Amino acid sequence: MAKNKNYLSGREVRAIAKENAKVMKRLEAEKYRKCEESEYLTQMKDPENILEIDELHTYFFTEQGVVKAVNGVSFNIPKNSTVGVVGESGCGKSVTSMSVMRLLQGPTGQIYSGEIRFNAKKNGEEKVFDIAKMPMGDIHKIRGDQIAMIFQEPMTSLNPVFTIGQQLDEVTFIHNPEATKEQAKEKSIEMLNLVGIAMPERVYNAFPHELSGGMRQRVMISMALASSPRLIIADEPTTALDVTIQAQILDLLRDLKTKIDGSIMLITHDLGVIAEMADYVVVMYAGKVIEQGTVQEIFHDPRHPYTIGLQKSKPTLNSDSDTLFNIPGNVPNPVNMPNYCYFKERCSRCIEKCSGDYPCMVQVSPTHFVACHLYGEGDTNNG
Amino acid sequence: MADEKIVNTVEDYDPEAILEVRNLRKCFPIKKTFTGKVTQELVAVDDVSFKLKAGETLGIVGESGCGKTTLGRAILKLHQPTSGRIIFEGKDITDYKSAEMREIRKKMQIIFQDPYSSLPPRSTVGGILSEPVSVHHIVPKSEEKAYVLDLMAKCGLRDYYYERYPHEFSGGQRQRICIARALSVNPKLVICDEPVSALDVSIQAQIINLLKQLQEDMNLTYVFISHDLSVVKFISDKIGVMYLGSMVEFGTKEEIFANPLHPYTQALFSAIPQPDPDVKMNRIILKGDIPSPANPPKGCRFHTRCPHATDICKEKTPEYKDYGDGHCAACHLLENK
Repeated sequence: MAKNKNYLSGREVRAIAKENAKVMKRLEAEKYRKCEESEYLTQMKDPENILEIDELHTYFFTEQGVVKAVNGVSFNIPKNSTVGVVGESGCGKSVTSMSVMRLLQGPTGQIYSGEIRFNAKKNGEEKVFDIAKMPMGDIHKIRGDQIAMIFQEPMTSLNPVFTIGQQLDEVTFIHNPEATKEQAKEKSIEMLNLVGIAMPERVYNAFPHELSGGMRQRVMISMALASSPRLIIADEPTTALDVTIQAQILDLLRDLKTKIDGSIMLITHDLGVIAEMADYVVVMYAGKVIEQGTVQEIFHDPRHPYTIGLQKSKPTLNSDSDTLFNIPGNVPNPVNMPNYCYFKERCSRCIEKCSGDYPCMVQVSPTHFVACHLYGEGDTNNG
Repeated sequence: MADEKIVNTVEDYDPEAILEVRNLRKCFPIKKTFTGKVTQELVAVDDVSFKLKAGETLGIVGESGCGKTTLGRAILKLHQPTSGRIIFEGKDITDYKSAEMREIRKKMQIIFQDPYSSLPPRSTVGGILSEPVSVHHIVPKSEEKAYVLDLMAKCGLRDYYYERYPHEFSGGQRQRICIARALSVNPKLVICDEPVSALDVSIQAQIINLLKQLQEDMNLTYVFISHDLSVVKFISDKIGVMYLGSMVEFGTKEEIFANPLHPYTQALFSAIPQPDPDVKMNRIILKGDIPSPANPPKGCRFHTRCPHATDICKEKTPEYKDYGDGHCAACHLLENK
């Protein structure tokens, strides 16, 4: 260790780089291998789920050390439901979704271990794939077809040099190579209609810069829907939009969920959006799931001090207090995470046990889980 | 005294008001002919007037592109207003030259939105905070460091941060540095231009509490610009709602929240998602997008999205009137009542 722990010496950096290169090379080779489908076929634990994430570890091998952005995350997305993932920036919520889509920036970002089981349905036949083990050559079976993604910034996620029509048609062509031009156009216009765009013919021929932020986000949503996916991952879909436009988009998403008969994984930092949209909530902190449960349980009976603090620190229109509750301190440094509870330094309800191991998930009710030492095994009334 | 020369007193000013804005208008040229004549203008702020008492907080809300940031900058004269008057402590500062503004800048400061790009990366925290102090001769040179350290303690920064550079800090800490920098000259008025929108929820609460604490300690007046209504409600005494460059409603916090008059304010309030799964709000969802400010609609600017629009709204611009106790609004619907 160097004298000043904020800086690394040249020797240390080289040692880290050498170590990283070894691991990255192995993982990259695995990612681009050629293999039979049977190698990544698996079984769901519960056939009612569409996606099961099991002990997922996604690491970034940087020069400062290994950043464990997702460090043992497990949760399920049941069929026809909306699962909200909340957390502050840097807690790993976007990296989780990127891992599911296999969009991590390699070779630095790698899925280190864990399983992502996805129940795919193609031509009436159900197959369960382990996305984490799929080679990149086969990922197109799922990505964009079975799982679609809506990104945070509608301003930058559309290609500025192609018209909306060209970009929408591409989706149809990729997943259905036999389609004719007319069929693709018909389908694209149908999709634009579905998301409530007033003049789809005109928008079809427009370039992205001619549209407003809300319109672009609608186009992104229609693009995600074009292949009738079973799961839509919406990564902060309304963060870049104004409140009145946000209300429109959320209304649209809720409406579409019933129409397309699929599930939504909604990633956001806004508790208000979660309360309105989600059926199940997953709260993440520093790469770990710290609490999960139904929306009622999380909002009316939060157990983890972080969840409680997060809810209290948001000013609401109905409250009339003088000072806001605040959680002191910052999120810990993602390199060199401590081996005790990551929230210990910011927690106001620490007990002796907190200096020990990282707390494991405790079941509070059939659907409600929390990772905190305050709630021991079988002792659920404590708090 | 050099100070007396630049005093430009206004006869009819309100002695209680620290800041008064009268019919402020700011246009930006979009198209010019080759001779430099402006052929098309974007009216960013159109005919905005309000008064603000010392120690109060005015919250300005609105969607992006409604001119709230331009208004904040025009008050500080970072943008020269096209017309209208800005009266600060009884002096009309609208036509002050930059040398004259220098004296006034000691009394009015700004906190910017993005703490990541508003700090110079090559100076230390100590350097950033001492510069305004030495430029404005706030304290003698020998006491400067002690003064800065005291200021840092007030803003919740540890003293060993003095030698550190901005890139070593997180967003919340950087925003504390920005606040300390703004307060280093003992200002009376601070314009906070979306100070918390780039921060996480738990850090947001820390910064808002800090701003409130400092307001009590130093008797500051804030103009708090934000798009987040719940934050504005928390911190403000008075609230102004802007839409496409004009103020559509203005009043005390209690009045505006209990009895929003303008249809836009009502829609804005109902659009905020509530962090409670049981609250099912009667949501007014506005149709369409905000029109381009370069080509605003005729008549009432809100009529293209207004659920109650009538024929008169399309032709005549509604007057901005007082509907009792300083609760002002601009809407045709209210005039008929």
